[in-house]
Amino acid sequence: MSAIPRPFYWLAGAAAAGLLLSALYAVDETQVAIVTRFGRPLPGVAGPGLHLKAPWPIDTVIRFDSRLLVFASGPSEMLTADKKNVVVDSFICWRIANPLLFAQTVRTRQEAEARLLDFTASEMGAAVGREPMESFIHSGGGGVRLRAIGDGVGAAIGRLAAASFGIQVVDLQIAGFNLPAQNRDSVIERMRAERGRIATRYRSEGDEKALEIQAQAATEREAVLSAAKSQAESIRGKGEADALRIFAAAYAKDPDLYRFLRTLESYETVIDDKTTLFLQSDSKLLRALDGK
Amino acid sequence: MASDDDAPSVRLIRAAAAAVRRHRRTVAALLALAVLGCWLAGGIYAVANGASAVVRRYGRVVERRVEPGLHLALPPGVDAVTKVKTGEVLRLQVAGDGGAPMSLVTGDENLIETTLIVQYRISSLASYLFHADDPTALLTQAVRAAMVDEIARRTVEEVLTSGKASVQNEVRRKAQTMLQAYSTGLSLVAVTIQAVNPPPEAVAAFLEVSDARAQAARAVNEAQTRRESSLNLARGRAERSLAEARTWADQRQQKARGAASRFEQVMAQARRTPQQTRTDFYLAMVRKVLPKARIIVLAPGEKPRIDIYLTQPGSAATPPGAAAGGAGPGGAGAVPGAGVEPMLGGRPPGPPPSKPIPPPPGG
Repeated sequence: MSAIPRPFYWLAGAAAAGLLLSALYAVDETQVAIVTRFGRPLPGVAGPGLHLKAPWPIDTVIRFDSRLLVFASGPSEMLTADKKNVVVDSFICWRIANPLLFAQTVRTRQEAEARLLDFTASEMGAAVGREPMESFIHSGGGGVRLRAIGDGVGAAIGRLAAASFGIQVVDLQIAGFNLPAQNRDSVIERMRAERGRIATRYRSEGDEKALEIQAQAATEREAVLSAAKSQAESIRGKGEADALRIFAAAYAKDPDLYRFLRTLESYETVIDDKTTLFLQSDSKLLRALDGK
Repeated sequence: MASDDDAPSVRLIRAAAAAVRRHRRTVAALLALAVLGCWLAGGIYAVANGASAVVRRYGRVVERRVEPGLHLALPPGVDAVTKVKTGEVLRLQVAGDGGAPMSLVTGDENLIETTLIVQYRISSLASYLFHADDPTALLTQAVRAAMVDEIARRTVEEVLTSGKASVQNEVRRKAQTMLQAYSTGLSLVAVTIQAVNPPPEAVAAFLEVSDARAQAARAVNEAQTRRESSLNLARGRAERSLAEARTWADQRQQKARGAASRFEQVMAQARRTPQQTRTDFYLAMVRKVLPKARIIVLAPGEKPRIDIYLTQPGSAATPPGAAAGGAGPGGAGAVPGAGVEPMLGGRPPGPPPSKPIPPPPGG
């Protein structure tokens, strides 16, 4: 048995193992890390995976979120170039691009976002002030530049934030556009008036169209009827002609007899109860009556 | 050491303890092996159907997408396995802050309020898990931005009525582009407008417009219906008048045929007995006609004493030796003797009798 008690070996072994293990560090997929030696940052940024460093207490690891972070600026009221009040809301996607600078300047996400909000407010205000209302809303669609305005503000903020805080602004977009609450009543009043006009227009257009159809119907009806009339006439004419042809064909066989019969027939029409006949007593007609 | 009054189970434990004490090293080695085995077995994992997994080794992604089944990874502490149900379609409501409908301004400066429903899937698990801090927040913001941009380009009328489907498509397309640019690992399945309304204070005015539109459509429809029915009626009338004309023409022909055939029969008879037939016809006519007329008989050679045509209605007087019919539109010609020259007034002109008919051949 030695003078040193046995548990000491165990303790010493554990401490040595701990020191050795502290020379290893893992960085998660969502993180980047920098190593400081006695508080002074070493150059280089460690990505995800297992890395080596000098054991504690020489080197210390500081980890940063490397993910895309999203931050909504919240609505704020601004003035367009044509002096209209609008409320613009935007969101910013950003990430820590320079962990060292980030650690030295803002350190936390909350702090960083507060700075970004300051930048956004001033840059967005300036950008909106340069644009007329048509750049934000335009029913033709052609003039709407929301995306371009967002990109411009994003780029401006990105330059500032990268230089000052080691932040990369990945994207900035306008995610809300509205009119100020105090204008709401007048806007709604205008909307109502506009709808009233449109309703009236619809009604009168409907009436107009109905009348048009009615007139067209009358024309069409007349066309149908007159076409039928002329067709009927031509049918009658043809019937008449056929009848005459039939007559003529028959009578041509004995025109003399025809004339005789035809004349007889016509007496029926010619002589009626209003007719007075003067007959000489020796007329053949009277004789014919006598001889019956 | 064992006393006889101990229970059998106690005796067994005591015997085991004694065995462990005898083979101390072996037992320690076995225990160590068991612990090691358990640790190694911790690397075995199963991915359920409809799920997939990502494996990180010391934090770094080594397997981006592990399909369903049984898999082996390095033991816990080295590898970390994250399993997520990636098969299902997820649903997210996109509204304004605080869940109230988003208030937007249309291209013609009208206010509308809207809520969207977004359906999406996790298309890249590793990106979804590790690339963005809050992928669904990004999704919400992207859809909002796309919606603001889309509504700003359209009129309120379009947004509320005909343009809904195209707004949905455009928002989906724009938001999807953004999500890809951000590598959120999400892909949009559908964007649906759950509600889109004018502000409550203006709803009545918008209803009036749709009412007016319906009214106009109704007026036009009714006019169309009236037009159809009047056209149908006209066509019916036209059809009827044509049918009448055809019937008339047909009857005319039939009559003509009848007359022609009668004539031909008479002609045949007249060929056989010319004089007889003519006399028969003549007499038949005279008998039929003369009783209607007033007859004034004059002595042979006497002239009628009346030389005016007409003195008063109802009593007709005619020039000498002639009969004037009230119905005859033409004049009347005088025929010496008993002959009367008729006019075929109101009749279709056949071969017009131009000569006086021959007097009846004797009586």
